[in-house]
Amino acid sequence: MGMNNCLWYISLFLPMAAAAQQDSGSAPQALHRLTIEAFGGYDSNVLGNDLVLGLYRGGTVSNEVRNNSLNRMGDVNRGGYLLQGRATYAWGDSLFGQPRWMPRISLAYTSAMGMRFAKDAYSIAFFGNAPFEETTAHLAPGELFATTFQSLSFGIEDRATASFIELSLVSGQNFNAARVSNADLYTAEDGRYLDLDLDGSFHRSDTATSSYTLGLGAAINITWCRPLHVLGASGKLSIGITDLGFIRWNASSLSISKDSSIRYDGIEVQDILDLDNLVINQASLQDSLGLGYGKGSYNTLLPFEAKGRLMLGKLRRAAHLPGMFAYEISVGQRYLPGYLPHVEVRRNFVFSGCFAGQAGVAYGGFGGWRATAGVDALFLDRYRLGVHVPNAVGLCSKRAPGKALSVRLEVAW
Amino acid sequence: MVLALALVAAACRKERPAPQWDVGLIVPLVKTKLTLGDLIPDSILSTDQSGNVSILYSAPLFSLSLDTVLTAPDTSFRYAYAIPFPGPVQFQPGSTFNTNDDVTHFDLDGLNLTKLQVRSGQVDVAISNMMNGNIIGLFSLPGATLNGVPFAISQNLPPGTPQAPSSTNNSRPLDGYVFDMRGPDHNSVNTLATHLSYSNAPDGNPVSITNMDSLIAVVSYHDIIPQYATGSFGTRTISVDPSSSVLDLFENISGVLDLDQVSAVIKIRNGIGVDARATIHYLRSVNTTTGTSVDLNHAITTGPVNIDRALDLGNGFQPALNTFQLNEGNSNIDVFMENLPNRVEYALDVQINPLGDISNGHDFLYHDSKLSADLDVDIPLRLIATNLTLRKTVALDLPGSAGSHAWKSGTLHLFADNGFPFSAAVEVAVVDDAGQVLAVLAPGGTVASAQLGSDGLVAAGTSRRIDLHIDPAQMNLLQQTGKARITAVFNTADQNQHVQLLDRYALALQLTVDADYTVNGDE
Repeated sequence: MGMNNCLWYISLFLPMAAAAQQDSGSAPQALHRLTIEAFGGYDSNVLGNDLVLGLYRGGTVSNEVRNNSLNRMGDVNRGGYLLQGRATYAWGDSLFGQPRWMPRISLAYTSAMGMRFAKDAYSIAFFGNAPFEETTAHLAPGELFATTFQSLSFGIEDRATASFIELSLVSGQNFNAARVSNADLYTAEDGRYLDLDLDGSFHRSDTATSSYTLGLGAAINITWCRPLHVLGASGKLSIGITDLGFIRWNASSLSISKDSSIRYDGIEVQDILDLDNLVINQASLQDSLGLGYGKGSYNTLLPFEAKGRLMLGKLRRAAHLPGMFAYEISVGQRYLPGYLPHVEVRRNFVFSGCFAGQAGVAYGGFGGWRATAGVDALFLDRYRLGVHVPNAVGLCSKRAPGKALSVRLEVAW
Repeated sequence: MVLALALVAAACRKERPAPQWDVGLIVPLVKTKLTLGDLIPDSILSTDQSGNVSILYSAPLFSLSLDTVLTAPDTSFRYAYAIPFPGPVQFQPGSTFNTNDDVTHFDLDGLNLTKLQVRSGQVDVAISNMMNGNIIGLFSLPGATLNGVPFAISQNLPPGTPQAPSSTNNSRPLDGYVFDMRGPDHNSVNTLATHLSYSNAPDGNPVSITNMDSLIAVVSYHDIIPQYATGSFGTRTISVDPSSSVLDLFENISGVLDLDQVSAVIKIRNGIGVDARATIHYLRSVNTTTGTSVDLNHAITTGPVNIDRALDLGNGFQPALNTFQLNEGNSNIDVFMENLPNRVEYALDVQINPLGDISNGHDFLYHDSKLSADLDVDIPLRLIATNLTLRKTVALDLPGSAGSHAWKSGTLHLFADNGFPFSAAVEVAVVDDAGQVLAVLAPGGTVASAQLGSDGLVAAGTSRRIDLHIDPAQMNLLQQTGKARITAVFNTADQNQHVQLLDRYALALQLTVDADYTVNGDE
């Protein structure tokens, strides 16, 4: 694709941003902007903080803690985490002769995991199969996707609306992906045999190579913003998608798919009196059950996020930074198992010339209903620091599910 | 599984301890199917057309090898030369002034050899020269040849004086040389012709010597190992000190075994070219576990046994085989074997050429020749077992350590489908390195015998579950020692009748566990 064609495609997107600029009339005038964002958190609709933190910190996880989460479980059990950091720098007074455009570059790290699981799967994992003697444990449906990757992105931003488009190079560090549509485990009396009806697959990245990059890929980030007026109030609409792309993992990636019934009644030995150095480990069990891995390249989609955001009632303007609105409604969806559409309604308050607070309510994601809160601090019209708590109750609670925190720093000059 | 993987993977960080929680596991561990072929090595099992099984076992009893009959001791010979008058006498370059043809007699402990082929060995020739000129010494063995070439060593001897003689040493291997031990006239034994001569070096100066100047040669034969020897070995008696051989047939087995019948053959192989007469003082079945011993009563232990000589094939030998049949009618071989010996002790004398030199000097031996005896036993497995005990200590490769292990306590379930006509009481104990019992896993139990039909054969198998509880203290002991001793005590179904074991009999075993397990408890 030549440069002219490239500009033509970009122009399909950015004229809308240009139109938005005309509506805005309040475009930040900074020539440089650096944004650093960090998010860390996990959430679940059933797994309490006492369990998750117990697993994270190590040591003994008590029966009571495990039961607390078990007692919350129903048919739909979800959980996941996200650790993400991103630094973005946009600069310049024009690009390709367009004064509205400015180049931008961003560097990001993402580690994400999402899962949905059956109650019996949790019970087997944390209480064993003894309670299921002579009964069938239904371990499915279940799904897991976990990955860690880094991306380096280059793009163009519309100075007036902050709309942008970026293309990313992605370096995959690791991944685990499992999908189990059927898994019924029957434990016979006295453990004489285990019957497993299994229909599922499991894939993971190369475990033998110590390289930091086990897969390469590409992604695109697009955000379209438009100022608007609703019921006489000024506002802004933002629609975007982040990390829409893929990673092709190397040829040493491991995969296994199984759709069969397995009966396991022990490892066959030649002599019951000759157990010297008999080792029953994961490898020998996998061989015995016919669950050996195959090797080969594997493609995964990135855990992209699509998000729409409507902001109304402008509260404060900054000369060099985007303004703040009184009300925000956002709807987002992340491509991870167990993640429901996340809806948040937020009210922003200005405390003084420098500080603003936030309060809201959210539903979805990996969790359920959540109270949200946050604060923003603006200094010298050039520096803004925001801290947001997506789960205010969970952050302070030992037993409620979920803890998360996000920090955002913007500097413009 | 997916859930545990996700949560634990997220939680595991090197800096923090691994999370641990207890789960109850009830899972199968191992299974096996034991037949007689698994209990007894196939190599010694024999099955007839009816499926009746016998043990054919062979064990060495004793062996007398080459060094019992012939040893060639290290030997040195000294040859001195000096003129028998005051002198001086002058010898021109190249002139030979002494030639000595002699014979060497070897002392071979009563053997009279006419031929000896050396497998390996060495001769050292050391000559000291007191003459003031360069002398050439030549030592040869005209009767020792390798591929038809006689053995010879030539040495240059530097000038010396009576006060400071020069010394020259030379060593040569004798491997493969054939010694004609009949001497130069072919009418002697143990005799080897030698030749020693001295001459003035042809490129040197005239040498003037007196009776004070001498040449002394020392020839040493050592580490001679014969490949082949022939001659007359004489009549003599070789005493074999009391010794023993290991018998592993009944290894790890104790109790009372009543065999319906036993037959055996003692095979004495003579690979030496001499007639022999063996007097076996005793052949003793020794069970070191019980401390009991049984002497074999048979004609071979009550009188001398004549043993034929081997046949010399020229480039090898054919041993003579002398066999002696043993059964319940002519011996107590059944009692001998029912003692479950793990050792056979013996003492004997062997007289060679008891009738004198009847081979007319053609006794022989090769390096591989030996006089040996083997015991071949045929034991049909038709028996009565009373508390026949099979005991074995196994080293378990348990994950974790004594201080940290995942398996805490629980119950082992042993499921047995018994198709053998005997019961088996099972006991599992934790033992230390010295084999001392630290704990016995209770309650254990007995797998009942299969049911016998009117023909005395198994008509139907029986099934049984045996539980073995392991409490936390016992599990800690097992982790510490890593050793468990498994004992099975067998009793045949009918203690009054011998029961026949068939090759189709089998015992199916499965071991399951119902236990408390700590996830990450091995770390």
